[in-house]
Amino acid sequence: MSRLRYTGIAVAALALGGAAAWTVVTTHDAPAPSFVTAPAAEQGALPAATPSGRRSDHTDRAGHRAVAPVPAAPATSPGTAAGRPRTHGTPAPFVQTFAAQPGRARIKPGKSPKTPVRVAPMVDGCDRNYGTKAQCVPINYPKGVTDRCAWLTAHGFTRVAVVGKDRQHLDPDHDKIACD
Amino acid sequence: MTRPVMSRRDRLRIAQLTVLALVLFLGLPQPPAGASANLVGNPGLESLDSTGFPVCWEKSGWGSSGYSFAVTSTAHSGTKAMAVTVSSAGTGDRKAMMLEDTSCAPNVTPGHQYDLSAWYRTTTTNTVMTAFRHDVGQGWVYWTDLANLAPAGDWTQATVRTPQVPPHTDQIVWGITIYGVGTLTTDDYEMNDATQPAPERACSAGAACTKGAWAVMPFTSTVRAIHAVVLKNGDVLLVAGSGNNPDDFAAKTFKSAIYHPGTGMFTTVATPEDLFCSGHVQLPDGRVLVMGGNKDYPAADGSHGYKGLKNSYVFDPATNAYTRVNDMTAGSWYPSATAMGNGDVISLGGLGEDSNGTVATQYFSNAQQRWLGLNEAHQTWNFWGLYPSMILMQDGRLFYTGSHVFGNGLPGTGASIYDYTASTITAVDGLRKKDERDQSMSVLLPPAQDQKVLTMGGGNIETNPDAHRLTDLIDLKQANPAYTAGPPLPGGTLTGGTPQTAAQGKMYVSAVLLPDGKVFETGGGLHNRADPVYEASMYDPAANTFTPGMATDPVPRTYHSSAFLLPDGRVMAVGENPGNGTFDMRVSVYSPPYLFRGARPHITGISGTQWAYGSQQSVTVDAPVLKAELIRPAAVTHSSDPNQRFVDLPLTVDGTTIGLNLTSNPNLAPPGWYMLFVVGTNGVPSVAKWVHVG
Repeated sequence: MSRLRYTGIAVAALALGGAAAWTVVTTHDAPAPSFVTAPAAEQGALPAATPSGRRSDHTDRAGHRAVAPVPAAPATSPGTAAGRPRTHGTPAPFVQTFAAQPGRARIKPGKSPKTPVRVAPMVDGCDRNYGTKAQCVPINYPKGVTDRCAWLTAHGFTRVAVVGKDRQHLDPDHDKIACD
Repeated sequence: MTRPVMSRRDRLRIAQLTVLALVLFLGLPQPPAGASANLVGNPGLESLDSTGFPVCWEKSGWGSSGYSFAVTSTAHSGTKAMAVTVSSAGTGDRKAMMLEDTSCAPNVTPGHQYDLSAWYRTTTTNTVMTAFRHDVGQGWVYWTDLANLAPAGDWTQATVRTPQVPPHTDQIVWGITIYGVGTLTTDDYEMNDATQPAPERACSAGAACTKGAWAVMPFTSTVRAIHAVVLKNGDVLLVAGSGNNPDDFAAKTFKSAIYHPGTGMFTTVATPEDLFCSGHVQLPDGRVLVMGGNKDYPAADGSHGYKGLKNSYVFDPATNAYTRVNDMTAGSWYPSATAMGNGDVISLGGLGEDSNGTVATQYFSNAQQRWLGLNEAHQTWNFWGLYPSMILMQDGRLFYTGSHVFGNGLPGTGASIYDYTASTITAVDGLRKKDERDQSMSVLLPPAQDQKVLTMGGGNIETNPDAHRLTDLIDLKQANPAYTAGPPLPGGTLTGGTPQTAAQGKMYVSAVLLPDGKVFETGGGLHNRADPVYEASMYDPAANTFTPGMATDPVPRTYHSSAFLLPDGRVMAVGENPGNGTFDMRVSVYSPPYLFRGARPHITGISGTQWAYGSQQSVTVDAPVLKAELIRPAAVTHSSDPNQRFVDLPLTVDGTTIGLNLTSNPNLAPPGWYMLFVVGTNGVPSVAKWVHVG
C-alpha cells in the first residue's frame, strides 16, 4: 500500500513539475511574431512623410526619382486571400550613401559638338565588299588563319559575291565570285 | 488492522487524475523550434554605462538633420527604452545600433537565418530596420535594409527574418533607423536563429539533378527572335523587324510575334517599321517602349554604315499592337534603354540617321508619355557607344559597366558612373580588357540590394581576337567602387568537341538571374559571328564561384542570340545568326537543377497584386519558405539587359503566412510588373505570380 502511495505521489509530482516547466518555458517566449501592422485609424492620425524628410543629398542627385509614385487602384487578389497588406503612408526612399567617389574628377558636360562623332561604316566588323548585307565576311580573321577561303568555306560561306573592291584578294579570276 | 490512508475510490481518482495530467502534459504544444536564446546583448536597454547610454549600444547615423537620443522611462518592459528624435529636416539618418565589437555584436553562422524583432513606436513612415555584417575579410559592411515599419502610437512588435547570412560573416548588428522628422522609441530587442532544416534532397533525374537539362522545342520560332521581351502576362514578345535580312528590308517585311510558353503557339504581330536593332524596356504599366531601329543597312561602297530610326512605339500586351509615340530626338540604332526609379526611361548611345554616333541623352517621360525635347533633357553630349550597358544604381545614377556591342570600349577606363541630374560622368577603374568587352554581358547580381555587378567575357568583332574568359566584379557599395578580378568563365568546347584552350572564353554571353539567387550563364562564341562555344555554368553570387559543367544548349547561340527567364522558372534561348547569313530558328528551353529536386512550393494566396514601396505584403504558402523575391521580366538583345534585377523580399514568417517586405527605394525596384517567386527550404522555387510595384 505504501509503495502505491509513493508511486502516486511521484507521478503526480512529475506531472506538476512538467506542467510547471512547460508554463515557465512558454511564458518566457515573446508573443508569436506577426505582421508589423498598425491600426488603420491610428495610421490616419499620424503625419505622412514630407518631402523635407527625404535624404536630400541623394535626392538632389536624382531628384526626379524621389517623387513618391502614385499607387494605382488595387488589383483583384488571385486565389485565396492571404490577409491584408500593410497599408500606411508611403515612406520616402531610403537611399544609401554608396559610391560617392571622393577625389574622383567629375567630367562635366561640354558644349554641343559641332562635328559629328564618326563611326566606321563597317562598325560590325564585316567587309561589305563581299557577300550580301546579311552576310559577314570578317575584316580581320581569327589569329592563325592563313587560308581565308578555307576558313570561309568551313564556316558555311558558298559562292560569296564580290560586290565592291576585292580588298582581301579572294577573287583571283575576277569573276566577282570569291573563293571559287 | 490499520485503516488505509486512502480508500480504493480515492486511489482510483488519484490514478485517473494522474493519467489525465500526464496526457495533458504530453499533448500540450511544444515551444516553437525557433525559440533559441536571444542573441542580443542588453536587449531591454536596462543596463547603462557611465555616460547613461545603454551598454552594448551606440548612437549611430549621419547627416545634417537635427537630432537627439534619450533613454526614456516610457518602456515596453522594464524601466528604460531608447528614443531617437529627428527634429529638423536635412540629410541623413539616426539610429541606435548594437556595438560593432566582439562582445556585443551577435555571433552568426553563414547560411543561417535569424528572426530579428523589436518593440517600437514611431511617428514617421520613414523608419526602417537595417542590418550590417562583419565580413572576416572586409570588416564591418552594410548588409541590407530589411523592412520599413509602419507608424505606431502604441508599442508594436516588428519581426523580420534575415536572408541567409552570407559566407565569411561571423557577426551582425542591426537596429531601427529613423530618416524623417519624428520620434522613434524602441525596446526589447530579440534575435533568434530561425534556420529551417533543409529537407532531404532525393533526385532520380540522373545528370539533370546537378546539371539541369535542355530541350529543343519540336517547333521553330516564326520570326527571327533578335529581341525578346517577357510580358506581364507571361507571354514573350519576339521582335525581328527585318531580322538582319536585307531582302525583307527592301520588301518592307517587318515581323514580330508573341510566343505563348504555355501552348507553344505564336501569334503574329503587325510591325510598323524595321525594329531590328531597336532598344526596348517595359514601362511601369507593363506596356513595352520600343525606341529606334534600323533605317538602313550599310552601303557596299562604304559611303555609309547602318542608320538609326528616330521612330518610337509602345507595344501593348492587351491588344498585341504597336502604337507610335513621338519621335526620339535623334536616330537610334543599338540604343540603350534603362528604366529609372520614377518610371521614366533613359536611352543613350547608338547610331543616328546619318550613321554617326548619337550623343544626345534621350529621355522618355512616363508621366507625359513622350520623349522630351533635346533641351528638356539634361545633356552631356557624350557618345556612349552601341548598346551600352547602363545599370540603375540605388541612388538613381547609372553605372556604365563597360559591356557594349561592337569594337572597342569607350576611351579611358572603359567604365563609369553617369549622374543624369548633375550631368557628370566619373570614371571607374579596374575593368580588364576594356576593348574586348564587345558582347560581354553584365548583370546586377542577386540581390539588387547588394549592388554588385558582374561583367562576363567578351571579344571584339573588329580586331577579332579569341574571346576571353575574364570576369570582373564590382561592389557599388564601396566609396570608390572599382572592378576586381572575378573567377574566370569555365572552359567549354568548340564545334566537333574540341576543348577550348586555357585562355579562350566567349562573347555573345547570356546570363540569366534565376529565382534561387544564382546566375545561369550560357551560350556564346569565340569570334565575330563564328565558332560557337558550348559551355554553361552556374554563378553563385554569395560564394563568387562558377559551378562548371552545366548542361549545354545543343543549339549554337552566338550573334543575335538571347536567353531569359520564364515565369515557370525555366530558361528560354533563341537566335543564332552566323556570318554566313543563316539564322537558326530553333527554340531551346533549359530546366535548371532545382526543377528536379523535389516538390515546388505554391503561393496559395496573396494579399494583393498592387504593391506600394515600403509596404509589407503577404502570401500564404503550402511549404516552408527560405526566401522570396521579385524578378523583373527580361527585355534582352545582344547580350544586353541592363534592367534585369532580383529584388530580395525579407520575410516576416507566421507559419504558412509570409509577410514580404518591399524596399522603399524605387531605384532598387523600378515601378512595373515583376515575377514574384518564393523558394522552398528544399531550394526549389515556385512558379511566379505577377505583381505590380509602384
